[in-house]
Amino acid sequence: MIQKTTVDIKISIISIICIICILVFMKLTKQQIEHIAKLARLDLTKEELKKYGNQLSAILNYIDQLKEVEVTGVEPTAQVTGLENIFREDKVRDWSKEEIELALKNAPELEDRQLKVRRIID
Amino acid sequence: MAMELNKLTIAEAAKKLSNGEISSVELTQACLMRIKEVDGKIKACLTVCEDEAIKQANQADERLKRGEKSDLLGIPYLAKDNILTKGTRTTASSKILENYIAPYDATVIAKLKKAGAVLLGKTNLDEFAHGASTENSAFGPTHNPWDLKRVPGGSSGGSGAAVAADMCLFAVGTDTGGSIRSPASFCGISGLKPTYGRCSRFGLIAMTSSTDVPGPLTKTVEDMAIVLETVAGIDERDTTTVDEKIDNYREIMKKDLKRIKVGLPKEYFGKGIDKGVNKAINQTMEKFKELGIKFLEVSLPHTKYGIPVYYIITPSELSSNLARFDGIKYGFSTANPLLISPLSGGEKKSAGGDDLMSIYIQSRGKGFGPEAKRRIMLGTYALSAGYYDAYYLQAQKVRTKIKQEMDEVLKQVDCLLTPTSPHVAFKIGEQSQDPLKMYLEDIFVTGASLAGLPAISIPCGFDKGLPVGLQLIGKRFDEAILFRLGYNYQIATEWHLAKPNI
Repeated sequence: MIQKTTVDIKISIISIICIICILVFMKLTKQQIEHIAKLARLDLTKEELKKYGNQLSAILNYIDQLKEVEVTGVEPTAQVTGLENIFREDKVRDWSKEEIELALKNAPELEDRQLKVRRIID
Repeated sequence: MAMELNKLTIAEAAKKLSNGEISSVELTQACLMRIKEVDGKIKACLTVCEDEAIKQANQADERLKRGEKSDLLGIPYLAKDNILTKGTRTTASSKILENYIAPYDATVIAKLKKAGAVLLGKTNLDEFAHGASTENSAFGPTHNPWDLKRVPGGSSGGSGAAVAADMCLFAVGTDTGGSIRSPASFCGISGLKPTYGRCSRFGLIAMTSSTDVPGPLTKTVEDMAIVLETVAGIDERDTTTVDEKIDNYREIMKKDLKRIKVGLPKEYFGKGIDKGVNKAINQTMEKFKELGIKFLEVSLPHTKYGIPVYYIITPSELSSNLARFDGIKYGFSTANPLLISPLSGGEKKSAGGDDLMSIYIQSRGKGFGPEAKRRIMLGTYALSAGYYDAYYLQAQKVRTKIKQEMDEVLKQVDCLLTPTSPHVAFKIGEQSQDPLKMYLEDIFVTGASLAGLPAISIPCGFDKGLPVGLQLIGKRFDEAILFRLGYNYQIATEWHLAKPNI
């Protein structure tokens, strides 16, 4: 009897440890979140990093159910129209003066009607 | 009398305009007055182009006087603010585009302009169309005209609320994962998500390129068909538009419904649907049976994977589409913080660096709202090295299964019938704290989006005084069957005639 109880307790403890491991493993680490934010070119505050980290982990957990689906031999769907290779004439279509002015007006920094960009190569 | 003109449908107004009973200027003024009267409470409109609208209305009246016949000539409408309208502010409800003036018209807008429709202004949405409630707007939520404490649905919530409150005769929205159907359902109006490839996406601020479609929100199914006839068609500037014949919808929809077979996918009728919604749907089915429809139970076993698939594909594609907002070409930029308008509270000059990386990360960090950032992060992760196969590729394969399943089932029946939403409009703030809970709002609408099928939502009853929406899903390019069922239903019932008390 006592042996059986000990085995039950051992199984319970192992199960709990497994669940914790799975939960910890599924959660995105702070480093991962910071890495993703850098890839996405997003400057996040400390609070945002923590909040989004938790929310993203929850969402990814939910999305994991996709692994259940049997997809051997299934082609991915990138677009549903089935169209291929739609071409047009290689002709330049100029914008009207008005359209050009409107477009330039939206630029954050202009110099001589050219968009200013920061140095790319050091 | 002028005040009531805004309550007309497109079909009614077109007749009166054509026989000279009313003018487009009178009609437009009635809508503008209505906007002034109620939009303080509803907050559907982000921009109202009063002067430009009157100018367009005058031009329409000239064309009418010359004897021109066109169903949308002189008809006032509103456009969702993620659709580019030349010379007018187009913000996608985001701070990052708060002062962006569109340099060109979207194709759907150009087509409406050519047909003589009058643009009244731009409507509120969830920022970049990310959401199902319009609560993610950077400029505040829109309020449901049926109960101002509740959401109008989303992401085309402004368009939905505006049509329901008679601020316009129709509105244009976009539907990526239910964004026209959800507000149509919550606001008690008719909304159409056309087949993917039916209407040009040129000039839409891109969200999920493989599911985005522009479409109409209207007071009746007949009006829906009128708008689709004008905006549909192949466009050389959008190579995902298909050269598909545009049916004579208004003739086809008047045919009766005898022996039409409608499928009821059992996965859309399980637990989790509110009792009141079930009751309205059941009553609708009885009405359809009276009209001659035969119902068949069908099964779409992969329905439940629609949401996880959608919430991998959508963030992945939008993380790419939103990369263009980098503080360099247009939009909010920390290189020039003076671009922040006083409307959003203003801000001191950025404390960060002035190099390229700093401009990118700070312009985007400050300009995007939380849901946009969340989705960009999710998409970036799903597409990043080491995760692409497990997430994005897997989602695309499951998408194939969902699409094939729907196409197969639609071979046995003419169309499918489902609720649009498991419940009626919820209270503002009730779901916005939990992003995952908000994603589950899309449970019945993602299937048609992922498979690229046409779908409509029409009002079919009330639950606790709030509108219930019915969804019909058709085969690819078969908008005609949806109009036929919807039109006949609206002749036999009066749900679509109910107006909110505002």
